[in-house]
Amino acid sequence: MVFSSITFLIFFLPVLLFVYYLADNRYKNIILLVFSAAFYAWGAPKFIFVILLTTFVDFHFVKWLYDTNNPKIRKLLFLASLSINLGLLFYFKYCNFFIENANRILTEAGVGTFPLLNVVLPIGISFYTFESITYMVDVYRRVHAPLRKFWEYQLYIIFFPKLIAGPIVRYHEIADQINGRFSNHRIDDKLLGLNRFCIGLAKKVLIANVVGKEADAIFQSDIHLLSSWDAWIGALAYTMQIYFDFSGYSDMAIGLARMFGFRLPENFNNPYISKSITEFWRRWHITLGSWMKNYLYIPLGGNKVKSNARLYFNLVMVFAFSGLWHGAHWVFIIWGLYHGLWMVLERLIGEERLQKIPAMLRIAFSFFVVVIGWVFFRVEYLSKGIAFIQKMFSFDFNTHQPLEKQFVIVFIAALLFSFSTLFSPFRKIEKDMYYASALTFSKMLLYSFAALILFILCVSSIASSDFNPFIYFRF
Amino acid sequence: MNKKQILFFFIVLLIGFPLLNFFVPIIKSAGLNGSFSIAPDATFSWNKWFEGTFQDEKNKYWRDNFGFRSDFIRLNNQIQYTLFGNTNAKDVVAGKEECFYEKNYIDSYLGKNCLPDSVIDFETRRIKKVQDYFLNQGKSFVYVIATGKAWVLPEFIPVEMDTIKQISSYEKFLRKFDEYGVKYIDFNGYFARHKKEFNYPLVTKHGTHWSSYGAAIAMDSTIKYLNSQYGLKINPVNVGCNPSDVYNEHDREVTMAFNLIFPLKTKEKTCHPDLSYDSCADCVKYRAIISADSYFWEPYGLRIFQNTLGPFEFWYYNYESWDNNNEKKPFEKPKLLNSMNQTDIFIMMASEMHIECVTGKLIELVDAEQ
Repeated sequence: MVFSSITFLIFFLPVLLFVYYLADNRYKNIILLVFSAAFYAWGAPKFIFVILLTTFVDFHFVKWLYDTNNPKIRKLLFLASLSINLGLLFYFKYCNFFIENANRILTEAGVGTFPLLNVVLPIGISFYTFESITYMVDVYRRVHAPLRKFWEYQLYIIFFPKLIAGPIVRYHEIADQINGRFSNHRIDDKLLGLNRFCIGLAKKVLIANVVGKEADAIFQSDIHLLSSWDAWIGALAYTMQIYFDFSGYSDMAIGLARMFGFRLPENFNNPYISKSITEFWRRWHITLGSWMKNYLYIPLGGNKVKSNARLYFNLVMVFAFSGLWHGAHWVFIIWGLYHGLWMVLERLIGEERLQKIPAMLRIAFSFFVVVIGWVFFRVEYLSKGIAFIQKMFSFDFNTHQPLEKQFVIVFIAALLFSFSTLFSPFRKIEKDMYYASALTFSKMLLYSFAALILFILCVSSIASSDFNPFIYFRF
Repeated sequence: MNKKQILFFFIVLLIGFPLLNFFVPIIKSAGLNGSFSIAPDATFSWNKWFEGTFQDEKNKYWRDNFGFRSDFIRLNNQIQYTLFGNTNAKDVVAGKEECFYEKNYIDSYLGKNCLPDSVIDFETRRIKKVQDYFLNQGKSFVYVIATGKAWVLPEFIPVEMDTIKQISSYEKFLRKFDEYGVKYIDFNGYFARHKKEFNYPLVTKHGTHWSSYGAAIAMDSTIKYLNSQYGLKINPVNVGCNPSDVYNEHDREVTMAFNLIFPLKTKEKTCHPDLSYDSCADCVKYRAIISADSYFWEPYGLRIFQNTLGPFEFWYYNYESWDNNNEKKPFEKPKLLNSMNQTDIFIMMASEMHIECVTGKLIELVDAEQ
């Protein structure tokens, strides 16, 4: 089930809100768990059993790990649990990728090939595997005690707002909220959560879907028929689509969780106003960056390595893995490496030297680098990405495909929204709508009214998406 | 409850209202116009559940049936039209000055979907065969070529579609009709050439077929043609006019399918036909069959033939049969053959775009009789 569907907005959400708010605090977690299971099972009915089984094993391994003081057993249990989770992720997501690549080498060598596995990728596996890992690592490192009940752990893993597309919530960030959030849950949280959800929904439905349509049309066209103008429009449209789609989803997740008393970590912070790629990664998919830093980069040695070469190697490796996490395809690895190399380059140049360049120039250049990177992220294979970028820089601006008025207006609005927080009035509005813990009634009334309008517009748009009647209704 | 709690309660109530109205229809929304299907409810089985088909079907059912769906769609359509000029109807193209076309009418006019010569020849032979069958039995026959909107209103075709015109199927058919001696009335050409001589639109900017007025004029002319060509005595119709600033439903059939909150208004002065019939002692109520495409629905609705002919049948694309009392009759071969034997007049009618589309089943019937 996706948030931007009639099933969720009109049926699932109102019923859940009704049941949840009427129930006593003792039953609220159970209600969330049942609805989360239903939410997942609705879209992936077979894989709910995979989650149930792995969480059952993880929970008991980690409980055992916590209870024992024998370091060898602790390490063994930790490695066993880690292997199960990464093994499942590898099996479902990466197995065929590695088989395909191995087959290419074997074919070149004239040896037989391995058959591909008939597997379907379970929805959200990349997210909940990473969350399972944070649970075992945080308990192993004794950052936080494990949860007492299996059903509480289940809720942490399959809590529906963040189950499908994050944010990736590290265990210690949410552990105390599972049972301890009720006393702090105020009406402001419910209202601000609802407002945030509506903003996210609007980002997805009213912006990302519109610009995405144009991006899809251009990226699916024959590249040879595109002009430079078309290629740039496609790349920029996709740049807007991926930001408003993903950050919109994160807003919906954070807003929904807040309505139920949970405070999830922020996942985006105006990434396109970054002055460098290093800063971009502090603003884009923050929870993935944070996970990679804490559970991969630091264990690899982080900044505290003996040589710069090792540091740069670590950086590039982490970004290559980040790319691979997004999907089992070379284009994602290339995209990750591309960003990793820019990070290394920025380290080589040094922060002080970069600071001397005017801020607006740095923002523009960083945005340019990010846009080029998205081309690799969007295409299906590397050679197409290179051909697309060649087209962008062929300076053939003579012709272009006609653009729909709706796309032009929404695209300009998306650009303005992306850079709006460079200006203080917009920063203030964002602070109120995203980060405030409470607002005055008049402000709340205003924002809630705006959110409600957005909700209605989004439902209207979703309801109409498949309604395209023939005019021959009388005949 | 404090003010914020009331606000939250109010918003949640509003969000839940479509769900409530789905289960208990408190407020009935006006229906939507156009031809579309509504997904049926899903039936549950564990097999379907694990395959995900139950969920897919239920998603579609809820999407098509949730409370206030039609109001939400109208709101979206209104925004799309007002802000972006987008129309949410299948294959409709917005032309200049708020004139809307179905795309295939423009394609037909420009000759983009022109049939090969061999097909034109084959179809004309079949039409001629039908004509000969009826004429040989002493019955009256005429092929009525109805209008194509782009032919009558080419000046409003949108710039991006207004490419070089090539020869169309219609033009080829006219040549072949003349060559083979098919008896026809070409309202498409006539309306296109003479539209300025009429005070009211023969095809409206918001319609797709001929206007009510245009349909009345065409039927009046058809009756006159039959009377003069075959010496029949059909009571003629007097076509009067009630001028109006508002289109009737037929004349805005395209824009009705836009499903807007505020229906589009027109600056075009239109005519709601005012039909009358003189008393005529020696007129004859002939039996007739009209084998036609959708262009006959408006004359049928205006009841012109009901008032001037005897019992008649309207064979819609030769797969449905309607009698003169608005009743749908079974489209069965023995009954059809019987009707063909009894009829006095046989009219084939199709728009310039569909000339070949009304021969299919008809030729089987003619062959069966010969």
